[in-house]
Order: sequence, then structure tokens, then C-alpha cells
Amino acid sequence: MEPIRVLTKNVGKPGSASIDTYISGGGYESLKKALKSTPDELVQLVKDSEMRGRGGAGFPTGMKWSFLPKDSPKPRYLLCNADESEPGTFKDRVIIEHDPHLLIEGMIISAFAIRSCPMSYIYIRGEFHHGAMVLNRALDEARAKGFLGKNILGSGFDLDITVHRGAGAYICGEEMGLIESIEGHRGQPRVKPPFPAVVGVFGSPTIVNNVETLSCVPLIVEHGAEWFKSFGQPKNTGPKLYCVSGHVKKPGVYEFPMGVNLQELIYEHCGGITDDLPLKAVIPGGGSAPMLTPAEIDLPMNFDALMKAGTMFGSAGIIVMNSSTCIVDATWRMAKFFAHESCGQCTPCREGTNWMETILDRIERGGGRPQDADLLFDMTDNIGGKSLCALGDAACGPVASAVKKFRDEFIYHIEHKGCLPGTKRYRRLDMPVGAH
Amino acid sequence: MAKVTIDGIDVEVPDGINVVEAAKAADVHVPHFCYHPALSVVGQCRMCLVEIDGMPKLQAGCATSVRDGMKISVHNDKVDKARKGQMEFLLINHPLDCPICDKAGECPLQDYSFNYGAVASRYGDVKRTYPGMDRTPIGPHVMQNMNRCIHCTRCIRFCDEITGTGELAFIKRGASTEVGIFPGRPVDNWMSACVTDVCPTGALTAREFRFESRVWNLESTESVCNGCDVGCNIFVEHRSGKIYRYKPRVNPEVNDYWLCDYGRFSHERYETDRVVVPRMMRDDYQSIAGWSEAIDEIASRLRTTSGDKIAVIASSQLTNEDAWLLRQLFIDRLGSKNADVVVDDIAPIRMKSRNGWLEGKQAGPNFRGVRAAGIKPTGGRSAEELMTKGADGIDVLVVTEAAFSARATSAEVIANLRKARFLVVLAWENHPLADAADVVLPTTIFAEKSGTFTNVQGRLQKIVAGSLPKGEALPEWEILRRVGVALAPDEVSYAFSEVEELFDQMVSKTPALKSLDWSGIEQFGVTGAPQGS
Repeated sequence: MEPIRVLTKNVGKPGSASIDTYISGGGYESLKKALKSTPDELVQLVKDSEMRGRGGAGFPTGMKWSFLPKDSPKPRYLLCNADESEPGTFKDRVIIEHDPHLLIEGMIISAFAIRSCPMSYIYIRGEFHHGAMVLNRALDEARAKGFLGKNILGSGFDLDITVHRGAGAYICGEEMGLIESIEGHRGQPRVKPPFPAVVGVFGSPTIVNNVETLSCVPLIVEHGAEWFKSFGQPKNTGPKLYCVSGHVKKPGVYEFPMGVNLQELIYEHCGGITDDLPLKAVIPGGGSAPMLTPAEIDLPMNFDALMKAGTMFGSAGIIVMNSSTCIVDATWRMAKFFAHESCGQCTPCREGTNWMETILDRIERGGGRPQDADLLFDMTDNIGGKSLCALGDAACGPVASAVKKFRDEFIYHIEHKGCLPGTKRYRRLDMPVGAH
Repeated sequence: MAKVTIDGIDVEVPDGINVVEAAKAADVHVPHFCYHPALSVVGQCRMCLVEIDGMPKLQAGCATSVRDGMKISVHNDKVDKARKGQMEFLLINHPLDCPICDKAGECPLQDYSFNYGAVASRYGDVKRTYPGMDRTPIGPHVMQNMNRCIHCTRCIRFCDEITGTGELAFIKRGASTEVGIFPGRPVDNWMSACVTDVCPTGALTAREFRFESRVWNLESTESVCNGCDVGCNIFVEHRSGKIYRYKPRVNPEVNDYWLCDYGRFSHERYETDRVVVPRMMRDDYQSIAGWSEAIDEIASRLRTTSGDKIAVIASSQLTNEDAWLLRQLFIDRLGSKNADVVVDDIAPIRMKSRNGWLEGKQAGPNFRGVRAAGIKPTGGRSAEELMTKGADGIDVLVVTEAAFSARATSAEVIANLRKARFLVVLAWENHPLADAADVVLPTTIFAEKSGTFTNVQGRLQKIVAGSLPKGEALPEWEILRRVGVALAPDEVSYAFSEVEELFDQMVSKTPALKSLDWSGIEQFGVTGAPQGS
């Protein structure tokens, strides 16, 4: 499968973030086209495109939009989730920093389609300082050209977009956590139901969409649903950005149609494994996706195929590990992340993620006990599916798969109080706890 | 109504209630920590996970509304394992210091750990502690031990949603999350000690009760708080005649789950020098007397005094039965024109019932009931006149409680009341007014007698004698009955020995209360009792 340049068509052009570059490439034509049709037609168009949300869960976008209650007197909100914090994921950043107008155009069309109130928010992670500046500059340009503000292009539709910067919490990328954070509360998810489509931000019906999802909307409007479906497989349609990192020779963001073969992506497009060592493990969908072994990677990268393989497509953040990786150390690193990012409100996540991290750290430091591997595995069953939001499940993904698929290495680690020969850890153990 | 099946038991429950409440109808207990019926639902503790047919994941019972036809499993292998897992998570960082914890014995965490937890822990690492936060006074009444906290946020929600004061919040995140106050903003609201009731662990305890007693050594008696006229339902918890604490008793119509700090700690007034034997003034000196001696003296004085020279100052602490007998004896029989009841005003205390706020403005629980029983001056002198202008010309003055008002300690008021030729004071504590009396009779406090109070809503509520009377103290109705017997030995209406019989007499002569009997006063009280003002 060959790389494509659809979502990334402007990336790399000089001044790609400016509105003039964007318009000269045919930008904002989709908006003009969309404003001439009705919101219901647009929702149907997105439904027909069979686009699934790019944030990680893969929920069909058109269906999400149609869940908004028809008879609610409250205003509707569209929120853009730009809190891209999943380990190994950096696709939204490319769009935000290099083609912000694609996102803005997508947001205006989507807001029009869901009959949004005249205020919309982009919730961007606090660390994307540059991205927030680029977005604000782009929003100013769009306002000056009349694409935002009152009576956009004479359609009678009003919209303004505010960039809201987060304060550094992974959990604010969870839609309920994001909503609480925008409201000014502590960033922690609310219990569902009610779902955001019914009671979301400020108690109003709310749609939360990922940056890449919203950026696909202008393309669907411009080229039609059939064109969009020509990329990928049935039910897994459209162009997709893949973030490849770790032990590959050419890490980066790649654009392919949905369903590119993982093995082909790693070995052909990314130039293979660093130091030409054998592959050891691949995390295919961001830090929360269960690991795959080299024998399992000959599969198409889409939602359904990865689900069948027992892992998840998630945000398509592919983390490649070669044979020099100590899997206990890598698992610890993931567990550490989730323990650090747990909001602390629900029992299994608050206590469980921290416990997993403690055990993995102990094994890595040579203090493993014979029962630890079983304990870890059983613990993931007590966390997974029991927590209030998906962070608990996310934390279990890497740990459960590592213990299951690399059990021998865990046992070796516990018995020999050290890494498997030929593997190394990527941190110093003499650092004080908490200093990494 | 929705028909649901809970662990194979078919029940019909109202639509829209959650699984925890619905399971109560089937007599199945769904364990929970963070869920509280009066607070918002957050679904955080994950203890109430249940399996619902047709849903792949376990659901939080508190956050799931029942639907018609729902099949719910509270106990099966999958749910039991999940629950055991949550219990393990909650305990890995809990200090398990039950032997020195005040909550032990009434601690949901302890109970659930016995019922749903594992015998041994698989946790082999160092427990998380919060250094320096194991005995933090976070308010005038509340002590916090953060190490014991299980982060259920009930206390935070109580301060946010019930009192609206919002002193408590989550600080930090993940495993370091702590519940805390803002610097310089202690938990100092008028119901602050309620956070110790809602806390399902020993993380928050009442400073006044710390290390006072193990809770299983306390006897608990259903009663009504006598702090103000709201009449919050309480348990009086006592041992060997000493009251250790009040705990709120659920009454959705009055105090729901709550109790104000003023009422909760009002039992401290009883930790004082009690009057335990009758005393009579002889040669300017009060000496110990026998009951019959004292009663005979009072009766002989009353027998020779005309009604317009007999005065009574009743306290708002009298029960309806006391007040009814008082009226029958002094107004109906002896013809006193100077009987009155006194109550102090207090700054309004708000209490949240499930239907809205109530406000207590009187310092006694039963001013309305005593008035309704007919204790009011009929052409004679009011208590206010006696207190401010002097009881000159009164031959017998009976005060039913020395501490009937805060003003009763003032030398001026005492001097004015002392102007009566013969002063009888009923008292439970040694009080300057009692010291000035010709006869002092020891009375029980409200926790030592039975009866009924009428609250601000006109709700008749029962108090039940719990602890034994101190010394020779008698309830007011018994003292009045003995005086009645001494005055009219043949009168049948004085021939009773239990307060229930007196209650029946009162009901039979009070049209508004007819058809009520003692055991028919329901748990939440009976509305529509007559109220005086």
C-alpha cells in the first residue's frame, strides 16, 4: 500500500499554517458548499461516509451526532478534543501546527451540522503551547475573513471558537474529564450515564470529537462519502494518520488509507528496526493498547482487525520495541504513566494502577517474588472493566498482555533478579523514586 | 413501577430508582461506600458493581436506574470476584488500625471487609501514608486521619450539597489524592460533625467523642434532640448513666440523615453536678429530705392556698404528658391563674429535611406542646411579670425546671422569684435558683424519661427512657402525680404507674389526638398535634 497525502496535503508547503496557503489549495470551499445544504443532509453525509472517530474508541461519528436529543431546549456544544496525550501519539499535533485551518473548517462545518450554539471550544493540552499559538493566529485570520463570527458567509449561522488550554492531565482527554475541565472543575471524569450527548458541558447536549475526526469532515463534504469510503475497508474507511515511534529507523507520522499492513508499515515504510535487531514487541494503538508479538503483526491496521487480534487500534500510535528492550522495564514505564495520570477518584484505578507500578518496579529492581506474575495478571482483571472511566482499562492493556505474552521474561527477571541477557533498561535505577 | 429480578427474587419498585435502592425491596444488600441516598451519585468506590443481563461489563448499582424487566445479579461468581478485588484495593493502603480506631464497630469498611474481603492480603509492599496527616484537626469538631481515607468523597459532597459551604476538596491526584481543606478555611459550619457520620471509615471522627468509648459498649436509645424546636430524631448513646454522644436517626421529614453541631453536642450540658435527692429549706439551710416528706409539704401548702396565689413557671423541656398533668393539677384542680411556660429565643438553626429547610428558633423542644396543653395565664400574672417585677403576693410558686431560661441564673430574676412565699423548684442540676428554693426536687433529664414532644411542624414524636435516673430523680409527671395523690388520694386519674397510661388519658381528653395510642406513634412521628404559641 502506498502512502497518500490527503489529510496532510498542505503539510510541508511553505507557510502551511496561514490562511492564504490554505485557501490557495482550495480551502474553505467545503464550508461554502456545506452552508448551502442543511444540517440533516450533512449528518447523513457523515453517516454515509462510515467514518469512525479517530480519538481511539472508533465510534461512528455520524451516529454520535445523531444521538443529540431532538427536543432539548438547551444549547448544543461542539468540543474539539485536542488533548493528545496518549503515549506514542502525535498525529493531531501535525494537523494543529501545520494545517490548523483544516481543523477550523471542519469544526465550523460540524458545528453547523449539529446545530451548535455560537460558541465552540478546542481543548488543547497545555504542553502544546506552540500549537495553541498557531491555532489562535489561525482563528484570528478566519475571523478576519468572515469564516467565523456572526452570519458566516451570509448563511445566518453564527460561530466562534475558543482555544482552551489544559493544565497537564492525561485524564482531561477523556471526554467527561475534558468537559469537567472546561467547566472549571477538577479534571476528573463523571460517571456515565448520562452521556455527553444528553448532559455534557454546562449541562447541555455536547459532542466531543477528535482533531483528526473533525479534519476529515471538510474532505467528506468536498469529495463525497463514496470517495471517502474508497480508502480502507468496509466499516473502517478513510485516510488515517499513523504515528510510528520507538525502535524503527524512520519514526514519524505516516498517512495511509485505513488498514495498512502493520508489518509492511514497520519494515518497508519506516525502514525496519534500528540496529537491525529482531523485533520484540509492538504496541499498535497508543500506550493503552495491549502488546503484539512479532508473530502477530501481519494484520491490517484498522479497528476491527486489531480488536480481533486482542488489542486495539486506539489512536494508531505504534510503538516498536526491538530485542534489546527489557519488557519488564517497558511495562513498568507504561504502568508508571497510568499510575501518575490516574485522577484518583475511583478505587480500582487509584489503588490498582499504583500497585501494578510498585510491583513492576520491584521486579525490575530485583525484588520480584514468585507470585508476582500471577498477581499482576489477576489484578488486571480486578481493574479492567471495573473502573469509572476507561483509564483503568487502558492501564491494564500493556500489563496484562506483557505478563501473558512475555511471561518467561518476567519469570527470568524474578528468578535471576536482573534483565534477560541481551536486553537493557532505559532508565537508571539509582535515581531516587519520583525523579524520572 | 418497574418489575425487576434481583438474585432471582421478583420485586416491583418505582421507576427510575437505582439498583442499590431497588435491591432493598428484595432484601438484598448491595454494599457501597460512596453512594449516600441524600447526596449526588458519583460511582467512585466501585463496591456496588452488579451484573445486569444484557450488559457485558459490570455496572455500578448506584449509577444504574432500574428498567422494567431488568435482571440483576448482586451475588454471582463474577460479581463476587470483582467485589473482593475492590475490597482488596481499598485495604492495601488502609492502616488496618481498627484496635485504636474510634470508628471500629460501626465502620462500613470493617464490616464489608469481614463480609466481602479476603482473609489474607496479597499486598507485600510499603503502604502509602500521608505523613503528618494522621491526626489533623480540620475543624472545631472534626479530626482527620488521612491514612484511613478511602476517597469516597461523601464528606466533600456533604459540604458542597447540603451545607453549601464547600470547605473540603480533593487535592493532588492518583494514589496521592487527599481530602483536605483550603489553608485557613476549617470545616466550621453549623453541621460540620455530620461529615463524621457519613464517613465510612475512621478518617473523620468527632473530636468530642475521640477515645471516649468503644461504640459497642454504648447503649442506644431512640429519642428526639431537645436542643431546639426542630426536634431532630436521634439515638442517645449512653452507658452507666452517662451520655456519650447523639447520633442522627433517619427521619426524612425532619432531619433526614443530619444533626446540627449545637444539638449534637448539647448533651455536654448534662455533664454537671446533678441534683440527686430532694432538699428542703430548714432554718435557712437546704438539707436532704425524703420524697414523701417533700411532697407532703408541697401538698399541704397547696391545699391552703387559693388559685390566684398559686403560680407555675413551666419549662419548654416538659413533655406533652408532663404539661397535660400539670394543667390538670394546677389549673383545673387548684385553679391557678398564673401558670405560664417560658422559652428562650435562639439564633435560627437550619436543618435540611428531604422536603426543604426547617428552622429552629426556640431553645426548647416542646414550647408549642406545653402551650397547647393549656399552660397559659388566665387573667393572672405571666412568667415574664414574675421574673421582672417580682412574685410578691404569690404564696406558692412552682418552677418545673431550674434552668427554664438562661435568665434564671441572674441574681435579679432569682431575687424576684424568691419573693414568692413558698418556692418549689424542680431541677436536674445544681442551679442558683434551686439553691434559693424552699423545696428542691430532683428530676430526670429527657434521656431518662419517656414522653412526647411536639416540634415546629406540629409533629408528635416519642422520646424513650434510656439511661437510668440519677440518684432519686423522678420524671416530672411522676412528681406531679405524687402531688396529685397527696391532694386527692381517691382520684382515679392519678392511679397510674406508666407514662403510657398518662398518654392514654391525655389522648382521650384531647380531640386532636383521638384514636392515637402510644405504640401507634410511628417511627417518623405523627403530624397534626395541637400547637400553642
